[in-house]
Amino acid sequence: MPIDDTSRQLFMNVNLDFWIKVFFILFIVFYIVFAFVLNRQIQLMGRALPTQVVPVMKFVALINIGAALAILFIVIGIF
Amino acid sequence: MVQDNIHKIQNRNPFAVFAPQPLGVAFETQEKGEEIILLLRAHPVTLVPSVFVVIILIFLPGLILPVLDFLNIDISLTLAPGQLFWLTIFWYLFTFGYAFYKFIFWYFNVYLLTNERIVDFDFKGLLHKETSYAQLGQIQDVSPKTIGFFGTFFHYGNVYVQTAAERPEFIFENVEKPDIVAEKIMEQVRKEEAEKPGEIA
Repeated sequence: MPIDDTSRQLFMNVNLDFWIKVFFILFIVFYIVFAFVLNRQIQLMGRALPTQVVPVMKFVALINIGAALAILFIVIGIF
Repeated sequence: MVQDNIHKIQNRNPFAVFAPQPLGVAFETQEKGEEIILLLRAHPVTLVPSVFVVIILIFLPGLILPVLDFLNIDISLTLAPGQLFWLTIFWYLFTFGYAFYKFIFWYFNVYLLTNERIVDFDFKGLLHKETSYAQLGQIQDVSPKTIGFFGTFFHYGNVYVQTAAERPEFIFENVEKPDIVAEKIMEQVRKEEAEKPGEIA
Protein backbone atom coordinates (compact mmCIF):
# COMPACT_ATOMS: atom_id res chain seq x y z
CA MET A 1 0.00 0.00 0.00
CA PRO A 2 2.73 2.56 0.83
CA ILE A 3 4.35 1.77 -2.50
CA ASP A 4 1.06 2.41 -4.28
CA ASP A 5 0.62 5.75 -2.51
CA THR A 6 4.17 6.77 -3.21
CA SER A 7 3.96 5.90 -6.86
CA ARG A 8 0.67 7.71 -7.22
CA GLN A 9 2.09 10.78 -5.48
CA LEU A 10 5.18 10.64 -7.64
CA PHE A 11 3.00 10.40 -10.74
CA MET A 12 0.86 13.32 -9.58
CA ASN A 13 3.79 15.54 -8.61
CA VAL A 14 6.13 14.81 -11.46
CA ASN A 15 3.74 14.22 -14.33
CA LEU A 16 0.59 16.25 -13.71
CA ASP A 17 2.07 19.40 -15.23
CA PHE A 18 3.33 17.37 -18.15
CA TRP A 19 -0.03 15.69 -18.81
CA ILE A 20 -1.95 18.95 -18.52
CA LYS A 21 0.40 20.43 -21.07
CA VAL A 22 0.06 17.43 -23.40
CA PHE A 23 -3.76 17.41 -23.25
CA PHE A 24 -3.94 21.15 -23.65
CA ILE A 25 -1.61 21.12 -26.65
CA LEU A 26 -3.51 18.22 -28.23
CA PHE A 27 -6.78 20.06 -27.73
CA ILE A 28 -5.37 23.20 -29.35
CA VAL A 29 -3.96 21.17 -32.26
CA PHE A 30 -7.42 19.66 -32.85
CA TYR A 31 -8.91 23.12 -32.67
CA ILE A 32 -6.39 24.39 -35.24
CA VAL A 33 -7.34 21.55 -37.61
CA PHE A 34 -11.01 22.46 -37.05
CA ALA A 35 -10.22 26.15 -37.75
CA PHE A 36 -8.43 25.24 -41.01
CA VAL A 37 -11.32 23.04 -42.17
CA LEU A 38 -13.79 25.81 -41.30
CA ASN A 39 -11.70 28.29 -43.27
CA ARG A 40 -11.65 25.94 -46.27
CA GLN A 41 -15.41 25.44 -46.04
CA ILE A 42 -15.96 29.20 -46.04
CA GLN A 43 -13.75 29.50 -49.13
CA LEU A 44 -15.69 26.76 -50.94
CA MET A 45 -19.14 27.93 -49.91
CA GLY A 46 -18.14 31.53 -50.61
CA ARG A 47 -17.25 30.44 -54.14
CA ALA A 48 -20.55 28.60 -54.54
CA LEU A 49 -22.61 31.44 -53.08
CA PRO A 50 -20.70 34.73 -53.09
CA THR A 51 -22.30 37.46 -50.96
CA GLN A 52 -21.08 40.73 -49.43
CA VAL A 53 -20.47 39.02 -46.09
CA VAL A 54 -18.15 36.28 -47.38
CA PRO A 55 -14.94 38.43 -47.34
CA VAL A 56 -15.65 39.33 -43.69
CA MET A 57 -16.17 35.66 -42.85
CA LYS A 58 -12.89 34.72 -44.57
CA PHE A 59 -11.12 37.40 -42.54
CA VAL A 60 -12.67 36.20 -39.27
CA ALA A 61 -11.73 32.60 -40.12
CA LEU A 62 -8.10 33.66 -40.68
CA ILE A 63 -8.06 35.59 -37.38
CA ASN A 64 -9.43 32.45 -35.70
CA ILE A 65 -6.58 30.34 -37.12
CA GLY A 66 -4.03 33.01 -36.18
CA ALA A 67 -5.32 33.24 -32.61
CA ALA A 68 -5.29 29.45 -32.21
CA LEU A 69 -1.72 29.22 -33.54
CA ALA A 70 -0.62 32.07 -31.24
CA ILE A 71 -2.11 30.30 -28.21
CA LEU A 72 -0.41 27.05 -29.23
CA PHE A 73 3.01 28.72 -29.35
CA ILE A 74 2.42 30.57 -26.09
CA VAL A 75 1.31 27.35 -24.36
CA ILE A 76 4.36 25.45 -25.67
CA GLY A 77 6.49 28.32 -24.36
CA ILE A 78 5.05 28.97 -20.90
CA PHE A 79 3.57 25.69 -19.74
CA MET B 1 -51.11 41.06 -50.09
CA VAL B 2 -47.58 39.94 -49.23
CA GLN B 3 -47.58 37.75 -52.35
CA ASP B 4 -48.36 40.81 -54.50
CA ASN B 5 -45.73 43.00 -52.88
CA ILE B 6 -43.04 40.36 -53.10
CA HIS B 7 -42.39 41.24 -56.77
CA LYS B 8 -41.55 44.84 -55.85
CA ILE B 9 -39.28 44.16 -52.88
CA GLN B 10 -35.52 43.99 -53.35
CA ASN B 11 -33.74 42.69 -50.31
CA ARG B 12 -30.43 44.25 -49.26
CA ASN B 13 -30.06 42.49 -45.92
CA PRO B 14 -27.22 39.95 -46.26
CA PHE B 15 -28.59 37.95 -43.29
CA ALA B 16 -32.20 37.85 -44.47
CA VAL B 17 -34.06 34.58 -43.99
CA PHE B 18 -36.74 35.41 -46.55
CA ALA B 19 -35.24 37.57 -49.26
CA PRO B 20 -37.14 38.31 -52.45
CA GLN B 21 -34.79 39.43 -55.27
CA PRO B 22 -31.73 39.60 -52.99
CA LEU B 23 -29.17 42.23 -54.02
CA GLY B 24 -25.49 41.35 -54.15
CA VAL B 25 -26.13 37.60 -54.22
CA ALA B 26 -25.12 35.29 -57.05
CA PHE B 27 -24.25 31.63 -57.23
CA GLU B 28 -21.56 29.61 -58.92
CA THR B 29 -23.59 27.97 -61.67
CA GLN B 30 -25.93 30.87 -62.34
CA GLU B 31 -26.73 31.14 -66.03
CA LYS B 32 -26.93 34.30 -68.07
CA GLY B 33 -30.37 35.82 -67.62
CA GLU B 34 -31.14 33.63 -64.62
CA GLU B 35 -32.48 35.70 -61.74
CA ILE B 36 -32.83 34.84 -58.09
CA ILE B 37 -36.51 35.23 -57.21
CA LEU B 38 -36.27 34.15 -53.60
CA LEU B 39 -33.46 33.36 -51.18
CA LEU B 40 -34.33 31.40 -48.05
CA ARG B 41 -32.55 30.39 -44.87
CA ALA B 42 -33.72 28.63 -41.74
CA HIS B 43 -35.71 30.85 -39.38
CA PRO B 44 -33.55 32.53 -36.65
CA VAL B 45 -35.62 30.74 -33.98
CA THR B 46 -33.86 27.52 -35.04
CA LEU B 47 -30.62 29.10 -33.78
CA VAL B 48 -31.93 29.46 -30.22
CA PRO B 49 -30.55 26.07 -28.93
CA SER B 50 -27.08 26.98 -30.25
CA VAL B 51 -27.31 30.41 -28.63
CA PHE B 52 -28.13 28.72 -25.31
CA VAL B 53 -25.11 26.43 -25.65
CA VAL B 54 -22.89 29.44 -26.39
CA ILE B 55 -24.25 31.29 -23.34
CA ILE B 56 -23.52 28.23 -21.16
CA LEU B 57 -20.00 27.98 -22.62
CA ILE B 58 -19.41 31.68 -21.87
CA PHE B 59 -20.43 31.38 -18.23
CA LEU B 60 -18.95 27.94 -17.58
CA PRO B 61 -15.46 29.10 -16.44
CA GLY B 62 -17.15 31.40 -13.90
CA LEU B 63 -19.16 28.45 -12.59
CA ILE B 64 -16.27 25.98 -12.44
CA LEU B 65 -14.22 27.93 -9.87
CA PRO B 66 -16.97 28.00 -7.18
CA VAL B 67 -17.64 24.30 -7.84
CA LEU B 68 -13.95 23.48 -7.35
CA ASP B 69 -13.93 25.60 -4.19
CA PHE B 70 -16.96 23.70 -2.94
CA LEU B 71 -15.15 20.40 -3.58
CA ASN B 72 -12.07 21.76 -1.75
CA ILE B 73 -9.94 21.56 -4.86
CA ASP B 74 -7.39 24.34 -5.09
CA ILE B 75 -6.66 24.72 -8.77
CA SER B 76 -3.85 27.21 -8.05
CA LEU B 77 -1.80 24.30 -6.66
CA THR B 78 -1.93 22.59 -10.04
CA LEU B 79 -1.89 25.49 -12.48
CA ALA B 80 0.09 28.71 -12.36
CA PRO B 81 -1.91 31.94 -12.86
CA GLY B 82 -0.38 32.34 -16.32
CA GLN B 83 -1.44 28.85 -17.31
CA LEU B 84 -4.92 29.44 -15.97
CA PHE B 85 -5.12 32.68 -17.94
CA TRP B 86 -4.19 31.03 -21.24
CA LEU B 87 -6.51 28.11 -20.53
CA THR B 88 -9.35 30.62 -20.10
CA ILE B 89 -8.33 32.50 -23.25
CA PHE B 90 -8.36 29.24 -25.19
CA TRP B 91 -11.73 28.33 -23.73
CA TYR B 92 -13.19 31.55 -25.10
CA LEU B 93 -11.52 30.99 -28.46
CA PHE B 94 -13.14 27.55 -28.52
CA THR B 95 -16.49 29.11 -27.62
CA PHE B 96 -16.06 31.63 -30.41
CA GLY B 97 -15.13 28.81 -32.83
CA TYR B 98 -18.28 26.90 -31.91
CA ALA B 99 -20.48 29.99 -32.32
CA PHE B 100 -18.79 30.87 -35.62
CA TYR B 101 -19.26 27.32 -36.92
CA LYS B 102 -22.95 27.36 -36.01
CA PHE B 103 -23.35 30.72 -37.71
CA ILE B 104 -21.56 29.56 -40.89
CA PHE B 105 -23.69 26.42 -40.86
CA TRP B 106 -26.84 28.53 -40.73
CA TYR B 107 -25.64 31.19 -43.18
CA PHE B 108 -24.65 28.82 -45.97
CA ASN B 109 -27.67 26.52 -45.71
CA VAL B 110 -29.49 28.39 -48.41
CA TYR B 111 -32.40 27.59 -50.67
CA LEU B 112 -32.82 29.54 -53.89
CA LEU B 113 -35.71 29.90 -56.23
CA THR B 114 -34.67 31.31 -59.58
CA ASN B 115 -36.68 31.87 -62.75
CA GLU B 116 -35.24 28.57 -64.05
CA ARG B 117 -34.79 26.18 -61.11
CA ILE B 118 -34.59 25.60 -57.41
CA VAL B 119 -31.19 25.28 -55.75
CA ASP B 120 -30.43 23.70 -52.40
CA PHE B 121 -27.09 24.50 -50.77
CA ASP B 122 -26.64 21.98 -47.98
CA PHE B 123 -23.93 22.41 -45.39
CA LYS B 124 -24.68 19.43 -43.19
CA GLY B 125 -21.46 19.35 -41.21
CA LEU B 126 -17.88 20.42 -41.24
CA LEU B 127 -16.97 17.91 -43.96
CA HIS B 128 -20.30 17.60 -45.74
CA LYS B 129 -21.28 20.06 -48.45
CA GLU B 130 -23.89 19.34 -51.07
CA THR B 131 -25.55 21.39 -53.79
CA SER B 132 -28.64 20.12 -55.60
CA TYR B 133 -30.59 21.60 -58.48
CA ALA B 134 -33.98 20.87 -60.04
CA GLN B 135 -35.34 22.62 -63.10
CA LEU B 136 -38.75 24.23 -62.59
CA GLY B 137 -40.11 22.03 -65.38
CA GLN B 138 -39.21 18.96 -63.32
CA ILE B 139 -41.19 20.04 -60.26
CA GLN B 140 -44.25 17.88 -59.76
CA ASP B 141 -45.65 18.84 -56.40
CA VAL B 142 -45.01 21.42 -53.69
CA SER B 143 -46.41 21.14 -50.20
CA PRO B 144 -45.76 23.49 -47.28
CA LYS B 145 -45.94 22.12 -43.76
CA THR B 146 -45.94 24.00 -40.47
CA ILE B 147 -45.62 21.82 -37.40
CA GLY B 148 -45.39 22.54 -33.70
CA PHE B 149 -45.80 25.45 -31.36
CA PHE B 150 -42.74 27.42 -32.48
CA GLY B 151 -43.47 26.81 -36.17
CA THR B 152 -47.02 28.09 -35.79
CA PHE B 153 -46.08 30.96 -33.50
CA PHE B 154 -43.15 32.25 -35.59
CA HIS B 155 -44.66 31.19 -38.92
CA TYR B 156 -42.00 28.90 -40.27
CA GLY B 157 -41.95 25.32 -41.49
CA ASN B 158 -40.82 22.94 -44.21
CA VAL B 159 -41.60 23.07 -47.89
CA TYR B 160 -41.53 19.67 -49.59
CA VAL B 161 -40.83 19.80 -53.31
CA GLN B 162 -41.31 16.59 -55.29
CA THR B 163 -39.34 16.55 -58.52
CA ALA B 164 -38.58 14.36 -61.50
CA ALA B 165 -34.91 15.37 -61.14
CA GLU B 166 -32.08 13.14 -59.92
CA ARG B 167 -33.04 14.03 -56.37
CA PRO B 168 -36.72 13.17 -56.04
CA GLU B 169 -37.46 15.38 -53.05
CA PHE B 170 -36.15 18.75 -51.96
CA ILE B 171 -36.95 19.89 -48.44
CA PHE B 172 -36.65 23.56 -47.64
CA GLU B 173 -36.28 23.17 -43.89
CA ASN B 174 -37.58 25.65 -41.31
CA VAL B 175 -38.11 28.44 -43.82
CA GLU B 176 -40.18 31.50 -43.04
CA LYS B 177 -43.67 31.74 -44.58
CA PRO B 178 -43.69 28.23 -46.08
CA ASP B 179 -47.11 28.77 -47.69
CA ILE B 180 -45.89 31.84 -49.58
CA VAL B 181 -42.71 30.01 -50.59
CA ALA B 182 -44.78 27.14 -52.02
CA GLU B 183 -46.99 29.61 -53.86
CA LYS B 184 -43.96 31.41 -55.32
CA ILE B 185 -42.48 28.12 -56.51
CA MET B 186 -45.74 27.10 -58.18
CA GLU B 187 -46.04 30.53 -59.76
CA GLN B 188 -42.56 30.18 -61.28
CA VAL B 189 -43.39 26.64 -62.42
CA ARG B 190 -46.48 27.94 -64.23
CA LYS B 191 -44.44 30.74 -65.85
CA GLU B 192 -41.81 28.22 -66.90
CA GLU B 193 -44.45 25.97 -68.45
CA ALA B 194 -45.74 28.90 -70.48
CA GLU B 195 -42.25 29.59 -71.89
CA LYS B 196 -40.82 28.07 -75.05
CA PRO B 197 -38.33 25.23 -74.40
CA GLY B 198 -34.84 26.58 -73.67
CA GLU B 199 -36.03 30.16 -73.16
CA ILE B 200 -34.63 31.96 -70.11
CA ALA B 201 -37.01 34.65 -68.93
